[in-house]
Amino acid sequence: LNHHQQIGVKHFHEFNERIPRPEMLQLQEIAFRLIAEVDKAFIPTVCGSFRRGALSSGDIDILLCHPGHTSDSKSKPKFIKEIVNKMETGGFVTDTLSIGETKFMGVCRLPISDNKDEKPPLHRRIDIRLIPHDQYYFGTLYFTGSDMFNKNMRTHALEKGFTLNEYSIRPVGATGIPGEPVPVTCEEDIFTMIDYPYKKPEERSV
Amino acid sequence: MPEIKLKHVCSVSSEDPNHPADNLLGQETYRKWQCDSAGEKQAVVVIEFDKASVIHSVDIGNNGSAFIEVLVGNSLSSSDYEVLVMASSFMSPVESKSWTNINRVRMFGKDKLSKAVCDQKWDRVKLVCTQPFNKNEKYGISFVKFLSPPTASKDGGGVTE
Repeated sequence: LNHHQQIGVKHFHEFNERIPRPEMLQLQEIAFRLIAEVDKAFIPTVCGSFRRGALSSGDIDILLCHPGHTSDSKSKPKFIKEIVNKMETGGFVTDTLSIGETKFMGVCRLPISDNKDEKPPLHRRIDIRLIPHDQYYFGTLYFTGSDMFNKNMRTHALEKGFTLNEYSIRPVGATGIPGEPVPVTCEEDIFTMIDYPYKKPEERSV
Repeated sequence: MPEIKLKHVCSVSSEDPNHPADNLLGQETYRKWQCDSAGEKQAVVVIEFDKASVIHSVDIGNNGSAFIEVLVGNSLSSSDYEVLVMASSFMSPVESKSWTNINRVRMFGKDKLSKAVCDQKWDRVKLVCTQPFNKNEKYGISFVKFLSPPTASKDGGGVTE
């Protein structure tokens, strides 16, 4: 077995357990605090069904951007390594499945309680992705879903003459060639661009 | 960088009688072109160069368009126009709705031009403007300048006609 598989086996039963929303909120709070300790300028968002208001989630999926890191940036920052180091020293992250410059996949858990009678907290799967600042809101939109909501929105965008994906929105030119990515400052800008009624994350569970 | 001389307007989708497409040919940049009625789906103008030229950079002064795309073609070739400057943003949806910053100027250097076509000579250009965010205003372009490469010798290495 490789490292990835060993960790999967070690925590197999725990990874199959759903994470109740109250625990997701606690994990979010701890993760965001540790991220801010590395740099207050980070903008983190927990995406997936959690962001749509789901009562339980399979894992915790954090998207992250930093105003100093855009798709034009020449060098890849060490942000992910710095954050994961911080999370490991705090005991929040217990295992690493894979780590690169833009993505961490691993295992985390809530702090162990002082009360010996309480069951120890379960190990949970955690992903952290660093996204260039100019692509961030396309990432949060995409990773919040639902898949059907994304599909419907992309179809609507095409009808309005735009091509939308997880990185950008671009006007489709006269010969069908996509144009330059249009800058946005929030998710709502993307809806406005294609004249699509804004839906809050909790209204996107179609 | 010499400016490529614009000979005439070959065709235009529509033009406001007070702001005709011929205004783009002159040097006076205060004169603009705009479509004839508000809310037109796109505003298109085709302009012919004085002679076939390599295009090194393009300067565009906006007049209310949200997006402007530049295509190039040859009058003798039957093939379609090809993209030189991809559809590019000149006004955000918010600016378009409030009709502010309608005269932004953008310069597209060689690095912004399509690699596949920018080394060839072209004798006509097609400018395609759209304004999907505001249906109550006429829009178009206030000026467009095409510049040829700084020197025809040395850097190219090849013989130019």
